[in-house]
Amino acid sequence: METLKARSGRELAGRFTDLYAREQPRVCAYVHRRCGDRGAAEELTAEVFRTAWERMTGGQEVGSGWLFVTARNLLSNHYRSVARLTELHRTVADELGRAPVSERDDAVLDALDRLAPAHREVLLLSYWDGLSATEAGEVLGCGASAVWVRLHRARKAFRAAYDLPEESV
Amino acid sequence: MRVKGLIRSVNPVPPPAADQDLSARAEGELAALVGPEGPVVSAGSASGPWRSSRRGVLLGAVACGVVLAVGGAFLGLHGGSPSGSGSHRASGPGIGPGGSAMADEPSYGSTAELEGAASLIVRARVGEGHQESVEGVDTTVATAKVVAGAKGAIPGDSVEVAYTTPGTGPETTSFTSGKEYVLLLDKGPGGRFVLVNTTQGWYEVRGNAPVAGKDNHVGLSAGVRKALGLHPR
Repeated sequence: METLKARSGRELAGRFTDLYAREQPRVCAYVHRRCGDRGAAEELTAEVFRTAWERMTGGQEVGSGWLFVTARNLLSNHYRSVARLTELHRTVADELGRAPVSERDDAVLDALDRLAPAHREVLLLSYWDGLSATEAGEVLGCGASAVWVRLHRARKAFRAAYDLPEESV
Repeated sequence: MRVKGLIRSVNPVPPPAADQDLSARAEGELAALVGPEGPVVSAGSASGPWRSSRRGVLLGAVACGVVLAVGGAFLGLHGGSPSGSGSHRASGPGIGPGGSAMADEPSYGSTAELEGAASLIVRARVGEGHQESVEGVDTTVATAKVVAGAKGAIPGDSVEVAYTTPGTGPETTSFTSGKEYVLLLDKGPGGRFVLVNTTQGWYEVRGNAPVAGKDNHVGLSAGVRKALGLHPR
């Protein structure tokens, strides 16, 4: 007869596996977009999930927002200076064997680079990483409703930056 | 093109597909954590990468490895440090509940969805309002005198509604002071209410009928119209 401990262990493993299968590709892509290196992203993501597993086996809950916050913290430990998005984009494109960006893409990346970090971050979390308002709120340290407000403000700032002629910047 | 589309078009690493398999390395990492046979995504998992290729494998296949791994943790719980080795530099907040709404203003495709999103639906006369700055966003706060209610508990004969000031952003609401509107509201901070959506959260009342804004193609249900004393347009 299955012991209580065995059943608990099996259920925990099942929950972790679900979480891993669902979130590992998202977290890895999130890290890859910020460090520009697929191998480093996989290594760092593995560290995130090792920590998550420890946490869960220690009786604590882990959700998707926690995974992204932990990934963000690990990134800040390993990658002190974040390259400009235009450079980062070029690095990833080279790595993946993609064609260079178009003029319009360059202008969009440049506009993002010129935004305040808080504006840029909420836009990338939402539109690149596909985080929900709750997940983005955990990463940004605010509630979901504040994410809406910040996103609204960031979109406004992006529009202004994208429309500005080069000489005015 | 809208801001979202422009920014998505320069995403250097496209979002993973729902049916994307885990990389060999990721599978190995998972197996190393929960057991050598590789566990199975449960039937309830919406987008598990192994849903097609591995769903048939039973969780029991890994029970031994899992129990060994987890058993150690339980021993730790009962007899040692519950927080593991403490060797990791990462730290995170408490429970991450996740969420289903994408971080953009939600759009509702049906009457049921739209009305379901509102905790309060009222017919009200919107007052002048005053300007405030909420995290740098120009916001108008107006008192709306309630004429009738269709959903939710109305906290008095009027409600305070906060909305982005017209003309200050790409998607704003334009209310005329003194006019009647149907408002679909959700609770906001400080006892105020916010529109469920700046384009779909309101209908102007004209000739005793609700008139949707130009970007809103969803109508109100017969039940809501009746409760508010309105006719179909």
